[in-house]
Amino acid sequence: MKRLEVCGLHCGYGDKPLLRDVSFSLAPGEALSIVGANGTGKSTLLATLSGALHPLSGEIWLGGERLERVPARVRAQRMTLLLQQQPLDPGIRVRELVALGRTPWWRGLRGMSPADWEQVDAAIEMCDLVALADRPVGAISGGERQRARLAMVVAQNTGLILLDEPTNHLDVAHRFMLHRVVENLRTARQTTVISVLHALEDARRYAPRMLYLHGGTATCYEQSDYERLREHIVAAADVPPEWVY
Amino acid sequence: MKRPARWFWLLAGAVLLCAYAATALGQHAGQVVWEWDWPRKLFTPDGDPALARIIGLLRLPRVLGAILIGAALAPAGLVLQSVSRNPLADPFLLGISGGAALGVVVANALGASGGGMGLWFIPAVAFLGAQGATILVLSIARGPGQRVSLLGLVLGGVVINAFCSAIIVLLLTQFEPLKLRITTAWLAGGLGYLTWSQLAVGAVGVLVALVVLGFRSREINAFALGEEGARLVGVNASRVLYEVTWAASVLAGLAVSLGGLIGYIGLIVPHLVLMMSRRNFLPNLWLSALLGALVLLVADTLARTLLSPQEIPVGVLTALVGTPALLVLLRREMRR
Repeated sequence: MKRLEVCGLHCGYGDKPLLRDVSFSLAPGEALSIVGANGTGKSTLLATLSGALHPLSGEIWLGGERLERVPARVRAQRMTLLLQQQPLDPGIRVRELVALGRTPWWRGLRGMSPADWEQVDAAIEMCDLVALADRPVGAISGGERQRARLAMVVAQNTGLILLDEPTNHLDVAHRFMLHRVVENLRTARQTTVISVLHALEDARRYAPRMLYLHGGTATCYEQSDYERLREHIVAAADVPPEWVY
Repeated sequence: MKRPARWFWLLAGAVLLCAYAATALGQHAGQVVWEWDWPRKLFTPDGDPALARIIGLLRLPRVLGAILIGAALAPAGLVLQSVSRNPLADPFLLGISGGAALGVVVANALGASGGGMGLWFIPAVAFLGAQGATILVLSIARGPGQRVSLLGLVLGGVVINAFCSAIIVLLLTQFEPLKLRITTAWLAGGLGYLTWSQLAVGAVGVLVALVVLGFRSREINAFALGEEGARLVGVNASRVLYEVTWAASVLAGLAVSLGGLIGYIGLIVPHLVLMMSRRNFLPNLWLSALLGALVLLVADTLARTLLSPQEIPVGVLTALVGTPALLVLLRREMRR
């Protein structure tokens, strides 16, 4: 069974579609990168896929069920989104933040089980945050905060992860770490990953398929079509080829 | 020492001890006296019946009223601070208490009193006033990205407080002298007129609101991620916000209908609780209820004995201590 199926999706704000007729499907362990210029609807598409924005038309199927029919808690057990920007309580500590990723798995008022804490600590270690686990998120850098939010997404342990510009604020070492974490989730947990990325090289590295958004439409490119996609972007942006990488 | 369970028992013991001591504290001929054997005097029919009445009808209701109001105001502040991610959220500063006070004064103007129908009518109208003010201030303060802004919250509170004060003063000008004296004494934070029936109604409401909040603790914790972030971890954010504002309005409305405008308990106590415990709403809810009860009990006891035989309104005392604390918090937040 496909983990995510998108059929004839029109999405946007108000009644004017920003993107028309988007269709694709992803199986467990598959990955897709979404690329496109500013304002082409990358974040709008992710917001629609996450359920924050209602589709103007078309269907989204999550784990064999229509997305709008999946209850909020079950949806959060199957899918999560790493937002580009997120207002966080500055006083919350990194470990407490990561533990919030286990919220959809709580049962009644019993709170976190030892198994939940094990997942939290594993996510903290995976995202290189052991030394920062007791620090308030208001007292760490933007990149460290991004890693803490990634660790929360990892601890949530969903079958589908949506990442909106996940490499923002990250230095080269932690961009490599992020790539390693995503690959690990895909292979070990069969997690399906959709990432919105600005850098074309990153997009190719993160997924064998790339969804290029341009002029209100979405076109799928395989890794073998990389050069052809690059030429499209160069032509659309009207910049020298060496600026597109 | 961030061990909430230990603090819970410590605070519970302190509330019991202080309640016993505060009930023992009385006045005779302008002098402060301790009557440590007050349970014997209260329950022995052949003792001093006048003293038994003073203890049973004045002192005990007042002590229990301070405990109840403190246990309502501090959790109301805690929950508002938690869902708005704003350390300055407090029912008094946000105008919620002002809205409740307006409700009570309107009910008084319509002829309601503390007994009979007024026993339910006054807290209900106070709740409606508090609920109206809560919805208004949160809608004013909500900026881009659903973030409840510090400035919007404080300014919204100023606007609502100014409006409610103006209407209250307008209504008070129409009151007869005795009613005016009683209402103004209550407005400044006066626990001297409480009855057992009022306390029973208040206790039921406060308990229901605290239990509702306790059942929503998991969801309230997730608000540290913002509304959108809470939704992503499976929380129905709009439903929880509705329930939480309802519970905060019940707490603030009941506190005001019982004890008038008592500020800063909801602001300061949640910050003190964070020194005892991590950011986990459920233990912090009970800690804030206990600490709020303790702080208001001590404040009210000081208010009735510091300048004996005169009484200081307890709202004035909490404001005198709370204002410098607010300035410190405001300065810290503005530097962030």
